[in-house]
Amino acid sequence: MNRLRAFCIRLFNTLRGVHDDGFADELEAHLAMDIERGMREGLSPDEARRRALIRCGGIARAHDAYAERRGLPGLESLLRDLRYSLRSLVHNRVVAAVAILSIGLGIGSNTTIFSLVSRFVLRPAPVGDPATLLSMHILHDNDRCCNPFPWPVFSDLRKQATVFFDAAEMPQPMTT
Amino acid sequence: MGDKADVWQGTLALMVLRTLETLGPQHGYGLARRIEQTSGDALALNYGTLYPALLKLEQEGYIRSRWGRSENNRRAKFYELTKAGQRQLRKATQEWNQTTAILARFLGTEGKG
Repeated sequence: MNRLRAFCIRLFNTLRGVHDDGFADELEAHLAMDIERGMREGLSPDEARRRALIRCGGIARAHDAYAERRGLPGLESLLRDLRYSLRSLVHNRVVAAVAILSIGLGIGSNTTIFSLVSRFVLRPAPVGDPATLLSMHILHDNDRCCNPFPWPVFSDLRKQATVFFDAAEMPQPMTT
Repeated sequence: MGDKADVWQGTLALMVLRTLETLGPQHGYGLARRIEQTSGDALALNYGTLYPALLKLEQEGYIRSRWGRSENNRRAKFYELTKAGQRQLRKATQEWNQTTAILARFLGTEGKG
């Protein structure tokens, strides 16, 4: 619960772009108090300041460490990259247009090809159980394969032949 | 500086909570001094360690901060324990005692065979 609270605050700080919440003042006050202590102990102001700065371990480092905890550094750099790329896209409009167009065409053609492959190759034929599919033709004597059924024969077959689940007419394949 | 130990983040949080419980509202400098003194000057707390830890505790709701005036009439940020912080302090103290007790048992039997 407390971690979630901390995460939300950091997320909020990142999105709102909070960069100064008085931390510089806080550090300054800390340093000043440390220098005062040194001077109370009898050091010269310069020496007291020098020692306080050594003790504090680097103001810039403290700012970095604090900033890392203030927001979410990973998300921050991601947002920075995003802003940078958007800026460069706006700057180079022609490149951006070409890129967007090629990505669009790429996605479009991929989708089309995939939907064809999916419909005719990957999915089973929409005929119930494809393994029981039969192709029926009429063969007259000395005739070439394969003549289609005349409509009345097909119609009767469909209505009366109970061994078939269903029947459908198929256009005759082009034969030469 | 080199001979002083760095503080582990987890233990520092506990030290801060405990110090705030003892001292009441306190600014960063006061906290750092007190922790260093309590450790017998064995610990050195630099800003980059102390303040992120304070910020983390504040984000987690264990402490809260407000700007006030120090004893030398300097503007400083004061930290104080919240109710959640008191609960966390009790819980963390218990866990820490348990851990050290277990470890002490291991280390105590060392060499006794």
